[in-house]
Amino acid sequence: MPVLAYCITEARSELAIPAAGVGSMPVKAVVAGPLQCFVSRFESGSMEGKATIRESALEFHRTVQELFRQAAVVPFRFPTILADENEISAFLAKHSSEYESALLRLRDAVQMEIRIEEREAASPPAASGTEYLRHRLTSHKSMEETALGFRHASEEWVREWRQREAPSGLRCYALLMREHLEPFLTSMKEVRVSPGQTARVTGPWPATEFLKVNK
Amino acid sequence: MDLGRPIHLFRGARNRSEASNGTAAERLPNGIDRVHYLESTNNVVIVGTDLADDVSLLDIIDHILNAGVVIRGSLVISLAGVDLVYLGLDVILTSVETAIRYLQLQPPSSGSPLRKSIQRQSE
Repeated sequence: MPVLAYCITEARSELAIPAAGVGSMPVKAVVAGPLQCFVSRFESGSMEGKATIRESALEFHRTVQELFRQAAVVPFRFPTILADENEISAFLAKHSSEYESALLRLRDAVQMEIRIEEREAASPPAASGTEYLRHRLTSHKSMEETALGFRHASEEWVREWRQREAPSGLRCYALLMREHLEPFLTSMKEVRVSPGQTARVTGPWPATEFLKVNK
Repeated sequence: MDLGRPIHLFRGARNRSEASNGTAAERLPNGIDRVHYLESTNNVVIVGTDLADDVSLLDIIDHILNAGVVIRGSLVISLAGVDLVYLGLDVILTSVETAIRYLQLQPPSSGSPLRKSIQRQSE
């Protein structure tokens, strides 16, 4: 029977398992060594239609968040559907050491995301390719400076910082201890963003950007 | 697991005035407070991950479709994984049969690699 995979946690965590997941299906833990994966039965055809997809996506989010409030999780990308529980067990066995060390390292940590973008009105149509590239360069530098502002403002609370370019701007990821969320948010309010930009701070999310150690 | 001290709550868009002074709070049954929503002044918007807040819906959808572990291969419906969700967001391909049925409804001029791939499977 196909299963929808939600997330991986340490098996030793005594977690309250959400009663129901996507499509009101019961959620269960598949334990394999030091890890456990939460899954629910998936019925073919149960996610057809735009409204159903959206609802399913939100049910998935609710389920993962419920677990994430209790422990560090490694979520699966939605929708990840496997043939059966054996496939999950095999996957966990294969990646056991990788996820075990990541969950240990990220225990009690959360990820906050800062998306810095240029306001549409701030980027008038370029008359030439050169002008467009110049504008992109200026805009990129400005967003980098804004990111640096966020980083400096929150450095007391942030354990690790990563950022990367995205088509719409710059995405920054801050790893912090759950208990430092409040001062981190306060520090975000102190950052000044130029009128041509917007910054969107979201979270707390599972620390998916920090699963791998930077070398 | 001890998750440390509680997180203060900022209520949703309906209660921005409360959010601005940070006085609102809601404690979950498990003792952890939720971050909902806070808008500050300097072009910085802070959004929580709670579903009660409509503002964060797009952030949530964006996140669950773009973040997390991807298992390559061996998926029952991973004809193109998450990409299929982006294909139109009007259908999710829950089986090869469904995929074929869906694509057969599309105009024949559409020759995307996915369609070709599925057509090959159906032949």
